[in-house]
Amino acid sequence: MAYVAVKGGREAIASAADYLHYFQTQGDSDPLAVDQIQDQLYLAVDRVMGEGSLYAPDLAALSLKQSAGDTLEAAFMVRAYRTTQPRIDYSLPADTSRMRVIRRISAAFKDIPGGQILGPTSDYTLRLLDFALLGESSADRKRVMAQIIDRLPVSDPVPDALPKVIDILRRENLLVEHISPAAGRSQPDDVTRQSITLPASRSAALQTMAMGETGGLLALAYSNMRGYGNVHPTVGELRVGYMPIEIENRWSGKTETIGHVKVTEAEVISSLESDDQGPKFTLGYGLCFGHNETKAISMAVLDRAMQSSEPTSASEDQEFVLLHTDGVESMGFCNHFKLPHYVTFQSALDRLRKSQEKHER
Amino acid sequence: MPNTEHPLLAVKNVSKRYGDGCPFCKENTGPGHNRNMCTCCQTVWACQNISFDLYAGEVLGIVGESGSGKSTLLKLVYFDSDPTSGSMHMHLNDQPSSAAVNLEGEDCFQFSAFKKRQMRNTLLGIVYQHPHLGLRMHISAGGNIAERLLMADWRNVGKIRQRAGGLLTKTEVPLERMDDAPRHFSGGMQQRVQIAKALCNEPSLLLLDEVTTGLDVSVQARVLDLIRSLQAELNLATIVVSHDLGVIRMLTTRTLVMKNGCIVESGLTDQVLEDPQDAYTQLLVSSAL
Amino acid sequence: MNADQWIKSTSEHPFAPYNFAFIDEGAKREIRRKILKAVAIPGYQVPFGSRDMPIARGWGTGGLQITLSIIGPKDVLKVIDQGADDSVNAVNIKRFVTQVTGVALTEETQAATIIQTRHRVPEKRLSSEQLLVLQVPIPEPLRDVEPSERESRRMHAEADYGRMWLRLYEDIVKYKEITIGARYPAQVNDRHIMDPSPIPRWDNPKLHMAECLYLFGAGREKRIYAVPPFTSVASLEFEDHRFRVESFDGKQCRLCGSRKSYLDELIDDVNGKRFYQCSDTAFCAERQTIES
Repeated sequence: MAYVAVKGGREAIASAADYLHYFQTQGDSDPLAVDQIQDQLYLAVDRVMGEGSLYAPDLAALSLKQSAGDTLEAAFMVRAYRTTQPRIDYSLPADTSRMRVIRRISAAFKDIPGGQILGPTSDYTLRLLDFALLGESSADRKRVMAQIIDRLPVSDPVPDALPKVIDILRRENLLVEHISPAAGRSQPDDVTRQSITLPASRSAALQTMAMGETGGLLALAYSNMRGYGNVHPTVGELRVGYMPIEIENRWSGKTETIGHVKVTEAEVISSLESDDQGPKFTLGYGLCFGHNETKAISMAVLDRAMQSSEPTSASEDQEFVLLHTDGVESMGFCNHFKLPHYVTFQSALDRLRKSQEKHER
Repeated sequence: MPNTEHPLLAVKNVSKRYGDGCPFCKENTGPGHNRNMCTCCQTVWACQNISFDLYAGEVLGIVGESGSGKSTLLKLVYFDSDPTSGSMHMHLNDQPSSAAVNLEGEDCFQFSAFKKRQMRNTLLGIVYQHPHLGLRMHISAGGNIAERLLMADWRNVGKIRQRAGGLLTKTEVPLERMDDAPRHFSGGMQQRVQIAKALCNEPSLLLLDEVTTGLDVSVQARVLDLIRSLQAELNLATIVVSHDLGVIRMLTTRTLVMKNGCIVESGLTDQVLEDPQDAYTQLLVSSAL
Repeated sequence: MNADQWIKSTSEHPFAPYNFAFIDEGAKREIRRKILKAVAIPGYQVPFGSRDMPIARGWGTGGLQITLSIIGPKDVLKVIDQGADDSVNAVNIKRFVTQVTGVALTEETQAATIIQTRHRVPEKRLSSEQLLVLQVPIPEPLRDVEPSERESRRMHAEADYGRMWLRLYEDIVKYKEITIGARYPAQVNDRHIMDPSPIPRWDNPKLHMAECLYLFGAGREKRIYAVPPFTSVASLEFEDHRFRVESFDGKQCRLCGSRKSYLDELIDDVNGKRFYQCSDTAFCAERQTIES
């Protein structure tokens, strides 16, 4: 059967879909429940919410089931769903010092006001395959949970608000912050409503990265850390927790909390820059949905890198970073090369043959 | 005044080709055939069998049009590129930097990368047509000079700055610009910084590759004047590569004329320019405004 | 515990299927040979086939591979991070190494035969019977002036260090000071410029003419290098801008009173005041015992 876009195309696509479903349905395993994905693959769910740019854990879990675990496809489905939803309102600016933290650390100081709260992290686990998980039953899970609860030490509750570590550096006037004269007067951009123009505002850059693909952002940030750039990062503060989302009620004028979202926030302190008051540290900022530390730190490194007045590498070039890190766009374009291109290819063949003829003469 | 002992620089049978070469190359390339590229194997012969001597204190001009091989030859002398064949010897006699590198009368092209770099830093100095080839545009002007001093093991910042400042003053670059990066300078000033950089380790041989081409005429005149006075003061052996006969006439005592990778004529500059023997040289001289 | 006891104790152990010290003997042999080459060329970065480990790259896999390749059943291991024995990362590494070797652990510097460390050299002078294994994130001191690995290796081969010195010169011109904090470059045995890992400048002098062997492991970048005993290690400096260590003038450790050790700066939870404590917790603990 020929790969022709004209004849038999419809039947071919139907067969292909069946074939895909075959692979998704084969085997004797029980159907994967969406709540299992939400509970037990919650980090994949968090990643898809971030890259899909929609905070909806149940929908992200469904997309992971439907895409058979392909996170690029899953984020793609979530984005498509997003398009169907009307924009009702914008939230009020959120102050992350009011985050209800489950994890909060700083690499810059040994101890910080409020303490180093390790939280749920795999950082200090050994990546050895745990074969005991092969036979895990519901009863096992309940037992493990009971043991955890049993072992909980008595301690003071985590405060509802914790001061920011970088405020320590701010107070000592050790931080350069590029605050544009227009800040405070203007509204942030909305890259989902207007296409990005370059040079991009900081809000546009951060939004673009917030919905960027984790691996793409990581690769560029890594290149900068390794030497193709000047950011020598120290994690000033990393927070994971639940942020209240507030809106202004249009009828009553009161501020209402409409829910909480889990976010990861990274503030990265970087190398020196001189202003008229002498050398100072500079700051990079990253924030994304869900628990995704790699992405938040990469965002912060790239945020700082893109502030370079003279880019010397790809990670410092705003255009390079912002136009190449969207997972849905990049995946789509990469895969589009599989579409029939034989018309254009025929044209190229014609050129090549003509030049060869000339060469032979 | 030329030194009648060993020449400071002796280049012998130097060739540079791009491509593998073939038995037919010699018979269809060169000034007689008006081409550098072999029609049979497409090898480009940038330089073919070049030999010349240069004595201490002499200023040698190399003149030719684009494709003549003059810039390639200079790059070979400076180790920017490796020759396909040929040798180069330097005899330092009583040169000030003779203690820095042990040459032992050997073929410089066979030296290790380490020794070549030592030679480049202490015996040679080069000024390129395009400043970005000779200067690091994001390092301060003083820093550009400092790099060569640091490579010659200078380890005192005060002394480094003193020497760099002195050289910039000598080349008429204002001292206030010493800590500025040359990318903000005018073309003429960038060339001056290159000259200061080339001279900082008291080289025995200065190489100038089309240094005033591309500058405004008045700026050219100033830079040429500067070069002429520095050369006279330091009695530096110099090779001046240019397509501009005016520059050759002004600066050099002897001249080589190159065409399609070969030397077609050589002699005292006055003679070559007033009474050229070779047909191509005659064409060049008569075409000059 | 000796080797026999270890073998017996691990037969029912979750790590039983693994070789002593986790990595296979072929890997250990390669790594030991690379270590010997590193010792033979002080300060030169030897490439090695870095294995994947159960801890993440960037978290000490290089140091860990060196430790696992040289450790024997009779060794006594100390692991510190930022100078502290009880730092989470140090604890994690110690836990792993004992699980796969059964070796004894210690927090006393002088009792250890192998000390694996991240970002500090112990305050106490090490003896010729001791090995210090340093965890290295970026082994290449020239990386700041040259991002390309190919080019930086050529620069080391040809001792072409002009651009490194130029960077220091430009720092002095811009900031009146060399602004490199930790990872201060040093010339080893008058030949290779080395990155001493992110130890503070305070610790650089300890590398010079030491009695112990220093081994440096970079797992992610796949390089091993070494400073043998009694080798010259000269932190780069100018005659008129000398190498300076961090200053703790007027400060002392609030626990043991030391004025001669590297101090961590901490900020009080309650009143926001600043206080200082020895970074080397074992050194501090010993001083406190002596005082009392």
